Amino acid sequence: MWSGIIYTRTKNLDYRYIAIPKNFDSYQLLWLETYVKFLLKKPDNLRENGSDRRIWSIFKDENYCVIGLTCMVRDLIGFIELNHPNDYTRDYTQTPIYTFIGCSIKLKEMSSDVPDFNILKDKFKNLYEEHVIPVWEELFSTTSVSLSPNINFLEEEKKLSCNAQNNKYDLNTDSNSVLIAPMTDENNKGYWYSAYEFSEPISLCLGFSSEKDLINSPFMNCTINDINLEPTKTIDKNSYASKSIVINSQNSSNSSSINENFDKNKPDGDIVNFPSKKGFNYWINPLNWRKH
Amino acid sequence: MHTSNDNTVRITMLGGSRSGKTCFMMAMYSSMQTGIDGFNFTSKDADADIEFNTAWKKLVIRNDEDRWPLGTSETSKYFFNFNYGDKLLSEFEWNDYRGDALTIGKATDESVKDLFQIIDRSSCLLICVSGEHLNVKADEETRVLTDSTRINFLLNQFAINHGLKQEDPFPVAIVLTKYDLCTRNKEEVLKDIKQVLFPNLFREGWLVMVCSTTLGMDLARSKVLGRISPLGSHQPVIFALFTQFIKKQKTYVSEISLLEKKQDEIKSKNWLWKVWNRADTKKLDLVFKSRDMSINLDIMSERLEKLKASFLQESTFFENGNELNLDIKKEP
Repeated sequence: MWSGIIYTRTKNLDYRYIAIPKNFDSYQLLWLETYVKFLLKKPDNLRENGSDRRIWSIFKDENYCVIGLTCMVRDLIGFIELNHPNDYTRDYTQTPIYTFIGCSIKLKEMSSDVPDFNILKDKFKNLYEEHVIPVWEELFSTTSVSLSPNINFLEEEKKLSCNAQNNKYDLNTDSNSVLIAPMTDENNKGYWYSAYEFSEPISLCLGFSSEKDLINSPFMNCTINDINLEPTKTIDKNSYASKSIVINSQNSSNSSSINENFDKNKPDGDIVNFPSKKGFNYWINPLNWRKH
Repeated sequence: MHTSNDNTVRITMLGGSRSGKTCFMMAMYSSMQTGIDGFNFTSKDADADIEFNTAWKKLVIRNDEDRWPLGTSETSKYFFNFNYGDKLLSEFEWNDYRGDALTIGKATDESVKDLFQIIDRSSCLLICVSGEHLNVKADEETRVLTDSTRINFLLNQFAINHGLKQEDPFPVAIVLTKYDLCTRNKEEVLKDIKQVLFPNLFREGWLVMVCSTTLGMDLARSKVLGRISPLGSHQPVIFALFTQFIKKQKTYVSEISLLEKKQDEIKSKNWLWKVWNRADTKKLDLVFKSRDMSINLDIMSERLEKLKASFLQESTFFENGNELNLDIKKEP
């Protein structure tokens, strides 16, 4: 059985964990946080070019597997008109809300049936409605609900169907590099299936917007929604990060904050004795610096 | 990836969730990219520059709810250069963090730890208060809505850690964002800020600027359709940088003073000592050094004079609790 995870905001309170798995200790939470933080770093990527985008992710350590969906809440539970009394998709300033919603399971309890994305989305929609709506209006909540395992995907007959079952995709298992593949329906299903089945620590996300977003990524495998992407490749994260473009090269890392390279062709001024302890009012008048 | 060095000016904005921190930063960057009176900003990261410009373009052009950036869920650091024309004057780090790290986070949360560290290392703090909460006389509810109680706690902690001094007050800008939504007169609002929201800042050890900003007065009519036309968004950050320049200015002054003392010491020695110690060469060296320093001082003075005209207007200043009456004449 799977336990729910919800990271989102409510009408009045900022982004936080609304629900976390009951059996997660602080180490597990930190591990989860690494991925959630990264997935939510650029939330505006979730609604690019006027359409909403879903980013599916799966990550495993030695003990647990987490499956998650990062998306706009309106994409998860359906669009609701502005000023509707039961609008759970916007905060009090009417700004749309996004979420990371998912579930976790102990590796040894995982079934071999890979759940279909549509089943997962429906389950997550129910999870959102069950746990977010009751705390929607809260003003001072500080705690997250610890959820016991109670989500079962096996009751559904529909499972992920793709050729991948017969054609396993090779996953990258080196945390210092990332495998990047073009986002196609077949790739998404294939890598998803392979990552789900993989018995060692692994991480995969589907549907990132560009390669540059993968700087400092904890993910080892990604599919990218970029039509210009060449066929699948693996890149070194460190070398990729060092290639990021830096503009305004007149700075060096050891340069002084207040630059002293002024134009020295200016006529000299008289050297005078200056007071050392004067207030802001004194110092904003340059005449005081010279005539004292 | 960029990092800051010991001399980087660190600016941190405090304010609760939805107080307008991210939009304020975008407006600030947009107006300072074009520049004011020759002063301008450039992002040190090309990707961040594209990110800001895309978000700003969306905000200006779109007429739907998706024009506004989504709330910040994690702390982000941005690195900028502050230039005069094409000359680099200073580099600074801007910290944008998730608003409710202030209010709902536990001290052990990573984002809250980050925030404490960031505040402690800051060169200047910007406190963001949304104008929509200032339409009625401030009371306990206003304190809750603006998170002023928590911000005061952080400021007190900061003052204790740093031992603020009257002769070297720490700069803080109180930024009244979304001022299009505030209909009260400015004197009343200022009184509330001094007496109800942040009374501790109007005491010894603080240099406070209060300024109002908006992304457009028309936004009060419609958040979706209102025209974007920012006002005052550059002033707080220029104030922050200005105060750091003044610190540097003081360093120049004391260094010049030290060089002059050394010159006087040489002057007072007898002729034999002077010959034996090659006093003429030493003195000449000191004269050159102090002259160089003086030139730097002159140039900085000139720049500061221009700089202050670009931000001091329409803002109010308090040093150690006393309001400063500044006579600023902007050059034509």
